[in-house]
Amino acid sequence: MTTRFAEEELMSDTEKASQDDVVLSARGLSKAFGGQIVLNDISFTLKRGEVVLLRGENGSGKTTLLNILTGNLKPDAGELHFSVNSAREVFRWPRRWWQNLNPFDHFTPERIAWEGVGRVWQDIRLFPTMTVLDNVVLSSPKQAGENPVMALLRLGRINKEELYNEEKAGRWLNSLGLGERLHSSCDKISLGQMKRVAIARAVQAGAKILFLDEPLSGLDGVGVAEVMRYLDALVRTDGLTIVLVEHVFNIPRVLDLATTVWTLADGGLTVENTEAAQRSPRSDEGLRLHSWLNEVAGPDGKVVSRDLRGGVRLTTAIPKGTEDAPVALEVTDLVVRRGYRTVLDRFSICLRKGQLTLLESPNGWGKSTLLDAIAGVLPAQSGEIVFNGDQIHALAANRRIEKGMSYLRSREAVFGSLSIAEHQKLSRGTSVTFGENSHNGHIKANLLSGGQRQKLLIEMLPKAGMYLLDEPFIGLDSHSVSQYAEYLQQQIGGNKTIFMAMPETTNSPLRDMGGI
Amino acid sequence: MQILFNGLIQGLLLALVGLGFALVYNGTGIFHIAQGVIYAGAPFILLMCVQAGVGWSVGVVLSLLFAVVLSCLYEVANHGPLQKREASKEIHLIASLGVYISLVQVIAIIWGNETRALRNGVDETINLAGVILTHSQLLGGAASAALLAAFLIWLKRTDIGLQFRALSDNPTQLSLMGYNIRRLRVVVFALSGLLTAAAALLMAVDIGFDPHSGLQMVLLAMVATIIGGRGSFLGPIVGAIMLGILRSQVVWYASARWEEAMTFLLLVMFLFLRPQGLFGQAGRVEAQL
Amino acid sequence: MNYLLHLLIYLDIYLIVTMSLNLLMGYGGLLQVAHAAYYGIGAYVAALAMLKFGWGFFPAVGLAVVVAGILSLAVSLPAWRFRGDYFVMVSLAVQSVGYSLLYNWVDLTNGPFGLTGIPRPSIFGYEFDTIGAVTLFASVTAGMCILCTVLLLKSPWGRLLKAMRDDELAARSLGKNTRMAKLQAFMLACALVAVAGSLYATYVSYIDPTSFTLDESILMLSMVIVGGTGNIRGPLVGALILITLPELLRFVQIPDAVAANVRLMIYGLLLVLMAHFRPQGVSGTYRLQ
Repeated sequence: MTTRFAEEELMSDTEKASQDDVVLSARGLSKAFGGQIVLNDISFTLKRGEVVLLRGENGSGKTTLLNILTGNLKPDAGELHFSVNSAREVFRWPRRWWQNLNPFDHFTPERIAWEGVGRVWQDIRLFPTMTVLDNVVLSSPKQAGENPVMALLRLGRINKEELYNEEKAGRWLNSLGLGERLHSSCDKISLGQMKRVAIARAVQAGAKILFLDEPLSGLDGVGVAEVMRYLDALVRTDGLTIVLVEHVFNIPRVLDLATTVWTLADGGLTVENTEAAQRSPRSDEGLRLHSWLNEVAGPDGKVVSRDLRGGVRLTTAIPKGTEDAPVALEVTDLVVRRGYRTVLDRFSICLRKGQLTLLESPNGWGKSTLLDAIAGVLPAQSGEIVFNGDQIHALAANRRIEKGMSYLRSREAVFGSLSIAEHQKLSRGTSVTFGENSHNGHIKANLLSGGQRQKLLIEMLPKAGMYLLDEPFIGLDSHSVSQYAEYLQQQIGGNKTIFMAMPETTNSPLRDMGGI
Repeated sequence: MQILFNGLIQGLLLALVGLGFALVYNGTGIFHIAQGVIYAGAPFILLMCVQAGVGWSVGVVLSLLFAVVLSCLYEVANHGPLQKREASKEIHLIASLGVYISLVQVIAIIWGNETRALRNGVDETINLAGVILTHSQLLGGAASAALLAAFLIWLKRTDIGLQFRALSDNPTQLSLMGYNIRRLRVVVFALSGLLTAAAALLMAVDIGFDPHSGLQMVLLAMVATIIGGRGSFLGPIVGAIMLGILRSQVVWYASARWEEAMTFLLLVMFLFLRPQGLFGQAGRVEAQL
Repeated sequence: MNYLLHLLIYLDIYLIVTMSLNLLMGYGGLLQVAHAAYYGIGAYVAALAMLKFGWGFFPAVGLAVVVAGILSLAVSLPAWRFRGDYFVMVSLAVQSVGYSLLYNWVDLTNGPFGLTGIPRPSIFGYEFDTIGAVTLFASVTAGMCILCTVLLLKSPWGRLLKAMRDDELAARSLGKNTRMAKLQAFMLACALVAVAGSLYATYVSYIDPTSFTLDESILMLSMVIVGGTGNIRGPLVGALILITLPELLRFVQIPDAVAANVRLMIYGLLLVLMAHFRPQGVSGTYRLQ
């Protein structure tokens, strides 16, 4: 009798052990935006101590999935099971009608944070009006002082709690080497330090599953090492589970730490362990782009690459005879801020006529910000921009366009409520024609597909002496890509200047930083 | 029936003001509270001209000129510089509010705080199939309908109308296509001022006017814009007409005292149930997560 | 001397007003234009409690605080869903409806005729009926309110508000219940301004709806913006400027007839100047950028 009982207990213990390992599982998650399916029936199981690398192309739905798992977005259908603490919480969609009557929303970021989920944002988001220490102290969970009644009436107890939390936070930050910076404002520490404070903040808040959105973007080798070391320690010592969203997947340090790789493509998720993922065929887009640059430079020209800090690679195709061509654009020490964040810190570049320069950068580095600032869409805080000999940094965008530059933006660039014909009416002379849009003059632009919109944008781009292109091939089918690439080559032949920005591809400079 | 027509005419006049507000809101995203100064001031200019013996036509022209010039100044001196500095919408609102407060007081200092009238004596009336309308009402209704129709045609057919619509949709992209956004914005303000002054004069002829009625009008214009739909131009017109009709019904069946409350309750209803308004585009709502 | 005391009482009242509005604007980051409505609710509830129920001052204020606190839900619940423009509109709606209620609910509030004969405060039978006594009373009340507000702002709750203002989404991702914090902030702000309203009612002993209009709300807003938000000193400066400005004008011998207009005009001008050159106000730390 007793043996049998013990056996049963033993079995349920092992069962429980394997169940306990799972901190988060999803079944059948789906999400569509306005008819476009982004996530299609996604399921996975996340175990404690796993380190997952979530990868996928731009637009594959990484951010959407991340938003859903952190409580920022509701899926259209599916289930989420959170079991970080011993209690299990299940969220199901679509909600029953009687559940929708409840005005107090059940699925919110703060609720999910209570389930042990933490998030580190791509743009970090430390609270700018607070010191480094306060940022972490604030995150302490279950503060009685956050209830105003308690704050007024139980001063003594609140003060004691504050001291305790401050001490704990101070110790965390000390171990991160930030002991001297406790009382500085957040803009006085380095990017790598900021990222680690953000991680500390999430951990202080009680996160057991940490979702990090491109945490290595903008970091140099030292910064990458610091962050990875910290994450490593968190996994080993504190038993955290980590999901890293990264655009580039072949950073050795990350792969060392990662146990699993999730790949998002076409709305579906593939789960594999790291060895298998490394064996998967790499995207050859980067290789194609660089071989095209060789074509542009021509048989007698050359292609020169240069790496900048932050993981940026500049590659210039220099056709024969343009080595000493006059300078088309010269940017000196450009500083651009967005809100509290300094995105570009004294950036300089020099472009010559008849050359094509490709800028490849990680997401979040600021390539769109750079192009926005050159074109006059964003004001620059300091620095100089000289275009064909003229100082243009005080000019409005339309004046710069008049002076002979053209800018193809990567997002939000059509007039959604206007028809195609009206777009054509507005544009002052088209350069390329893809032909497709001439039949559908009356359709409003916001009903077009991504590819059609991109073609419309390219068609509307004013003819210019210098082209600023932000991810120009996005959404295009291969035929249109070759058509446009050929057109660009012709422009180079006609002594125009092209500055193209692309997201980092597999030819990432960081790839070469093995052995860090 | 009578109530309906009264409301309709009120609605048409309100539509002019609403369109004036919507023009600025759609084209620049600014809460144009200072529009109230134009509304309050235009009748005083006309009054001044009539009293000076210059005549009504000259007076009307001068009032409209005043409206256009002041509106241009708004953009050039107030909002343009702020826009260059990438100021938030709240700052623009505060600046507009400040302009409204100070300029309305200037009007009050010059002309006093009391209500004035442009017309002496009782207005003549016409009987249209059982509905009695005063001449002023008739003028107001006809003129506003004409102006509204003209505007809508202008918007759809002309080049500048197209630029206006593009400006409301994506000002950055328009700028990148070589168009002078700053100049367009001035035109937006000027047109807004013109429509507002026209409405103010038409209403001043009918009922009286005083320096402080501007704010009330702008608020109604704002409600009409939200109900009609942000980003749309037809929407505020329809919204204003609807509002005019509803308000006169309330005055008749309940009492004048509840007009304002009803208006704002309607606004809140729309904000909660259909934030994009009747004709607006869904998905551009500033709701929270 | 009496006149100085009179000014001091008003200073006390407005200090409470600015501190409470600063809680919403400087720490919550929300542009509230319904504050005068809650000021009015505080005044009326306290007055009615004292007049109709014969309550003493403190129970009356207590009731006013509770009523204002509960009614604060009218603005705090929409604040969950709306930000920026939309919130301002809802705030306007609440102000309008609130004023409408005060004006039209004649059975309760006596409508436009107002309430007269509001007694001076009395504690345990001692009545503060000399101006000196009232000044003392007001100052102590103001002092307590300020103390409470300062303690709260320096507490973890105040820090939570700051985080919410800086980056609400990030705060929520850390598990902070910002919705609750908003509710609490509004409740506190409305309760505080209700105290100010009660003080006002008991001092002037006659109140009518015209003191609680949108114009008054805008004046309160201007006070806070000019003085500065985001810290403790700003609201103090704001209230001080409001009180001393009319005195300065008198010194410059502006005729009384236009004094009110001139004062408002200066306010409007200050708002515009602040918006352009100093969004953090004279003494504030938080820029409404």
